[in-house]
Amino acid sequence: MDYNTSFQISASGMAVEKLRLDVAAANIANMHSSAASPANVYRPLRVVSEEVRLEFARQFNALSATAGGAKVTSVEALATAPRMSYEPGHPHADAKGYVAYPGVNHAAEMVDVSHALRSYEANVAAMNAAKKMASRALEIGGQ
Amino acid sequence: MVSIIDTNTISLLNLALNATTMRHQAIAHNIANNGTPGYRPIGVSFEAQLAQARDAMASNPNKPLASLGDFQPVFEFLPPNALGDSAVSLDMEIAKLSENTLHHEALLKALNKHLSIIGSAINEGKR
Repeated sequence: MDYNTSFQISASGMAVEKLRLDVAAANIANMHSSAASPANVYRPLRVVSEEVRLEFARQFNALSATAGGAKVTSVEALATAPRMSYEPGHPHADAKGYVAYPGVNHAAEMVDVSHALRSYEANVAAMNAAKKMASRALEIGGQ
Repeated sequence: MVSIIDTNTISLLNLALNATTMRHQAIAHNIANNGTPGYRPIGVSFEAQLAQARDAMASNPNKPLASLGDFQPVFEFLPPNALGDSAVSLDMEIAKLSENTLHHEALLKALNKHLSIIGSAINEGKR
């Protein structure tokens, strides 16, 4: 029996969710990062992940090294319009006195944070279950 | 005479333990892909095959389960739920995970008991 695979699957899920959390944190941290021109302003990022296929037809006595799980395909910048704020004294203000701030949707980022957090916890639960199963298997033949 | 080292029990338990381990992998895979768009959850098909093995045994009780190699747990796509939705639902996966872990422990307990019966026979019932 290959418990390594179970651990790898859960670990890959945790890595993806951790990056999701990091990216949401980066988006929130850059909420007020203004730029001189609206084209250069920070754009909110999103993690795009995909499945790593488990080998379906494999038989148990022919286990291969490839585990399943999830992986990050890319981190894409969202095409949201910058938020223009009227601050004439600001060093980054344009001719009309507007400063470009990133179009970060605060509520959506917080939802992403909660989602990533719960998904991470679910992966931890799966890993703990694998640990429990493996340690129980060590008790075979004991008294 | 029936052998004390009952290979049927041990090989069946072995098979069922393989199935619970694979099911754990399937559930972990579903949980890891909780945020993957367009993902189809997977499961393990085993109990239906076991029912066939049971029928074969019922018709011929003395036949050793030499053909157990034909009954292997396999990964499969889960059918979509009643609403036609095939997305992963985290609560259901965690529920399946607890059930599977408990089942795995029950199988290990059964294996342990079986081995201790053999051990007691070897020690002539002492200890």
